[in-house]
Amino acid sequence: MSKYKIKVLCIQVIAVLALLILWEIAAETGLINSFIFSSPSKIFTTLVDLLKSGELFNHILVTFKEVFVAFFIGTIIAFVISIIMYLNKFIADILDPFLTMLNSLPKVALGPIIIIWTGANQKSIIVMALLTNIIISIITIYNGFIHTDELKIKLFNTFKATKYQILTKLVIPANLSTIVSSLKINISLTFIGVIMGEFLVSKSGIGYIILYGTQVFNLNLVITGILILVLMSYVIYKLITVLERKYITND
Amino acid sequence: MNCLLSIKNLNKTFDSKDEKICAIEDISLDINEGEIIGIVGTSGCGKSTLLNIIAGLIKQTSGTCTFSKDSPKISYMLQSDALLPWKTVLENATLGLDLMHIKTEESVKEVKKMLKEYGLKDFIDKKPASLSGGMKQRVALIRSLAIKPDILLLDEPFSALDYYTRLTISNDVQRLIKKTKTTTIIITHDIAEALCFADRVVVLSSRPSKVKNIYDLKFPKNLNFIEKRTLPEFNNMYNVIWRDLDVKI
Repeated sequence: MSKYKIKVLCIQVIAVLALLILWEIAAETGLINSFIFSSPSKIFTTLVDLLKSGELFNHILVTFKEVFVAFFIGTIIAFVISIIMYLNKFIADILDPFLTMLNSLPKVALGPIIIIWTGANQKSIIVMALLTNIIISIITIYNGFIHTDELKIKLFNTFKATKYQILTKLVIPANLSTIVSSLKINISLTFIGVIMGEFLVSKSGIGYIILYGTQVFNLNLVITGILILVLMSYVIYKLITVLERKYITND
Repeated sequence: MNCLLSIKNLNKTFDSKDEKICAIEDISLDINEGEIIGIVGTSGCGKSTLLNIIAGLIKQTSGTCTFSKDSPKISYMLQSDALLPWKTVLENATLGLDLMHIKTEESVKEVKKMLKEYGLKDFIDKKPASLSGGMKQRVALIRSLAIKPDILLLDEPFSALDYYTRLTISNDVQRLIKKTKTTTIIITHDIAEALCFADRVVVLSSRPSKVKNIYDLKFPKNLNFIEKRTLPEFNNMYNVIWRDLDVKI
């Protein structure tokens, strides 16, 4: 690690520690109401209790599972639809305004209907997450596809390439980095969708912990849940970045 | 000499919003086997349109463009090298063979030989990002020649290169084309380049493109591009064509 990086890291750690210490002092001296704002020490005890009872692990697993299922299904569907739209401009032109409309619709508005249609279970959480991630993925990937370098397409055409060859040998490899950046957006949106879903219906998961904590007015639990969520999304984001570095070596 | 490509009364108009734009008007031209034709014209005069029609990428409005053989193999070298950054130099050079399903061990061997011959020996398994502009253009040319085209179309192939690279690369390219006896049409706005490169130069007028004049070049063979430029005939031709183009300064 370079000197510069160490410096950055140090300041980051110090900032977090300072915030925690200030928070703790403020709570101890009664400057803020620790019943509403909680405090680092209370969050820590809550975390330890959750860990001891073995509940925490289960909640994290549930949320992770929902995120991954929705993420994979969403990515695959978006990829397939983008390909269909690329191969058939007619279909793409028909779908275009609907995609734009659906994209600007706040998906949480669909929550109640989803519960009625799919039942108040994990299925509705996944559907919720799919709705949040799929539209924007389609738009991003499709846009990448249609903006493939015209000159290279012309080159392929001069070699009498078929549309299928252009797709598999030019359009998809040329857009790998677009696809990966769409995955990055996709994963954070999936997270939003899953937590929204867990708020609406669920008996476990981090979203459930947060909602339950609010209902019984246990703010320690709520803030602990949020902190865990922050860590989870950071881990997933890092994972994708690592994969990106490993497999995308194009300039 | 056998006529390979016969263009007769070719016309092309594009429909824009409220008017028809005539890009090519009544072009007729015969191209013989093994010949290098240089086409000069000011930018935007419709030279590229002509190549696109010959390549079968767009349809003419009227007139004919007939090859003397059935399903001729046409190679098109574009203004930029259009190499695929995720493939190696060899994979790029054999792209055409690959797409046309005519890749054999032998054809790959020939491509390797050409790459070696043109100073790309150490780069065969490298990605194009590590090549200089001139080297990339050489790979692009070898990619075009690998399929053994009946006709090679060059559309301002060196315009992205700096002057010195341009001179050496175009000299190399012309040598390679002569050696493989590939019938070639090269489009350029650079009169000197056309004069160095071609056996015959066709001068096109500005929009709509019409054939203004065709000149048979009778420079001594075996001269390189620099030597050709020093000939007095070269300068005469240059001036004649310059007057044809009728560019106002």
